[in-house]
Amino acid sequence: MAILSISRQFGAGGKTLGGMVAEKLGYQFVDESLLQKVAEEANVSVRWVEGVEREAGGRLMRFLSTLVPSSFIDRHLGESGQDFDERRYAAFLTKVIKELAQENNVIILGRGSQFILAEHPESVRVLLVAEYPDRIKFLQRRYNLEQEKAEAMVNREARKRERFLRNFYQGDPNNPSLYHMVLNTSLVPIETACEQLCDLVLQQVDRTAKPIWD
Amino acid sequence: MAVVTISRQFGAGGKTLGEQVAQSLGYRFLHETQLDTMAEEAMKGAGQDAEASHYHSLVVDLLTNLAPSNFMDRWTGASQWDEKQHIGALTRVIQGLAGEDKVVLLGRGSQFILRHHPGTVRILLVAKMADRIQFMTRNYGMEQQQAVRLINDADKKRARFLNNFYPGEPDEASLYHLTLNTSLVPLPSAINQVSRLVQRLEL
Repeated sequence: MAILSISRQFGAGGKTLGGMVAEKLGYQFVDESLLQKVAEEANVSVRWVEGVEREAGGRLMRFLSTLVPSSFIDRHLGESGQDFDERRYAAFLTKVIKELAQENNVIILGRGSQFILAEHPESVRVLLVAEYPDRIKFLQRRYNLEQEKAEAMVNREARKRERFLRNFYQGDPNNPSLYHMVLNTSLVPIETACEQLCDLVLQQVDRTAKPIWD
Repeated sequence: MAVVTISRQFGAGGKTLGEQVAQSLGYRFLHETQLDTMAEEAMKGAGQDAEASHYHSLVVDLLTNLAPSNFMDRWTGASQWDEKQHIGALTRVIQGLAGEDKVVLLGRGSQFILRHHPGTVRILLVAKMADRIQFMTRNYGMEQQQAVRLINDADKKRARFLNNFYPGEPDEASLYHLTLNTSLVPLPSAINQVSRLVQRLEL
């Protein structure tokens, strides 16, 4: 029973890794494009936004699962949040992510979830970092992109991430003390990273384990 | 077969974790006072301009005869060496140790000295200030005020020392394979994370 928040520098393999961990642990994976989609739906139906707080988690999850097939439309390529005032969007995300956290056994990729869930007792927060050239190479391989395009994407997303996360936190989002664990996917292969994350989640929620200070 | 370097903010539990990781992997653990002592002995034995191979055989000798030394000496005692010479000797001692393999090294710039050494796994430990203070008062029987002073002093010393090897921020996560926040990750889980990573990387 845990909720895993995966944050990452763009191109460090967060989406791939999140999917792998979800499959291995039998968790539901909520990626950014899915959350974006929810926000768009919400923008259409304001009543639904207002309802989020009151809704039972199960219903929200069912709603989310109906959206899964379309989540493959890579929303990173679009201009996320443009139609939706960013502050309202952040407030909305806070509601949705907190609601998702009620569900347990969920993995959430990005969207400020590391800050929204900072005080959540069942949350495990990890960050993925990687060297700049490796992040470009990863995107080229994974999404079959030209180097120039991958590079432009990494740069654009880095700026967007920085601006977006400022809605939740004023400091450096790559500060390791904000997370339980940071993995460097330039040095740790993705399969190994997946195993390390599964170990962390399974052991972290074992309440009988003693903290380091005892 | 690997070399593990553990870097940490002072009071984040580096020695506690390092010893237990070494035990679980069947590796030798060397803390920073021991690394300093070895550098000093090597300097006496070889002189600062000696060949690397000469250093290596000295390191092997020193390892066999290494006496247990007080871990806190490094942080409570005054340094008696010229820093530049000492860093030169330390670098060659750490490189020599890496050649021996199956070691866990705590601190002393080992993450930078061995940055390009194949088979090195670099770990960083961070923790909240309040937890680091508590860790020092519990584990080393210090008064709160004394722990605060020591940690502040150690943070400054560490930043200045590491600047000899790397001009940037030493707590930047991309310099390490794995960073653990020991304020949030319990000790058994942290030991498991590091040991399993070393095994899984099959270096």
